[in-house]
Amino acid sequence: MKQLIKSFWGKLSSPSKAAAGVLLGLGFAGGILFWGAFNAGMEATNSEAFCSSCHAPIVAEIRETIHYSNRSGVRAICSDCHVPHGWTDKIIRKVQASKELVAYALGTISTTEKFLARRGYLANREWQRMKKNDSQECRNCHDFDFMDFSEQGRRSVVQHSTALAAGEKTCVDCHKGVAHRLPDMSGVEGWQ
Amino acid sequence: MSTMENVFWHILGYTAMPVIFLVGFVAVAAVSLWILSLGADK
Repeated sequence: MKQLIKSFWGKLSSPSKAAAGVLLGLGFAGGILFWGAFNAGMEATNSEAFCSSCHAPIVAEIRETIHYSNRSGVRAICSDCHVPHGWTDKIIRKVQASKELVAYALGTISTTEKFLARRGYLANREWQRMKKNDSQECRNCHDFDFMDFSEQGRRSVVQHSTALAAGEKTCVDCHKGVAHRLPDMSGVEGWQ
Repeated sequence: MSTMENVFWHILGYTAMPVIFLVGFVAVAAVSLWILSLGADK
C-alpha cells in the first residue's frame, strides 16, 4: 500500500511529456465526470424508490394526501420535504443519514410493528428539525408573501396573519401529519 | 436532536465536503495517470 502511494505521488510530482492541452483536457473531462457521478448519487438517494427501501409504510401513506394527488398535478416526493435543498445543508443531512444505514443494518424498523413503535420518535425528530429551520422545506414551495388570504378559511387567515406573520410560529407547529398519518400525539405541544 | 448531536453532525458534514473534493481529485488523477501511461508518458 505504502509503495503504491509512493509510486502515485512520484508520478504526480514529476513532469509529464504530454501536452498541456491533453493534461488540462483530462482534468476538465475527469472533473465533469466525477461531479456528474457524484450528483447522480445524490439524486439517486433522493428518489422515492430509495426512501421506500426502508420507509415503505410511510411512503405509501402520502398517496392518501394532497401532497401526492391534487387538482393541479403538482406533487412532493420524500426528499422535497425531508432533505434540505441548499447544497451545504444537503451534504450535512446526507452525512447524518449514514447513521440511518446502521439502523437499516440493525433492522431497527424492519417490521411494521417495529416501525409503529418508533413512529412517534421519528416524527418528533423531524418536527424538531423543521421547527429549527423555520419549516424551510415547506417554504421551498409555499411562500407566505404570495398567500392569498381571500382563498383561505377563516381560521387559517387568523393564524397565518398573526402567529405566522409575526414569526412566533412556523408551518410545522400546526401542519403536522400533512403527508403521513399522525403518531400517538400525547405530549405534543398544542395537541393535548 | 440534542445540541451536542447537532454540533457533531455539522462537524462531520463540513469535514465531508473537502474530503469529497479530495477523493474526486485523487480519482481523476489516478484515471488520468492511467490514460497517460497508455501513451508511454510515465
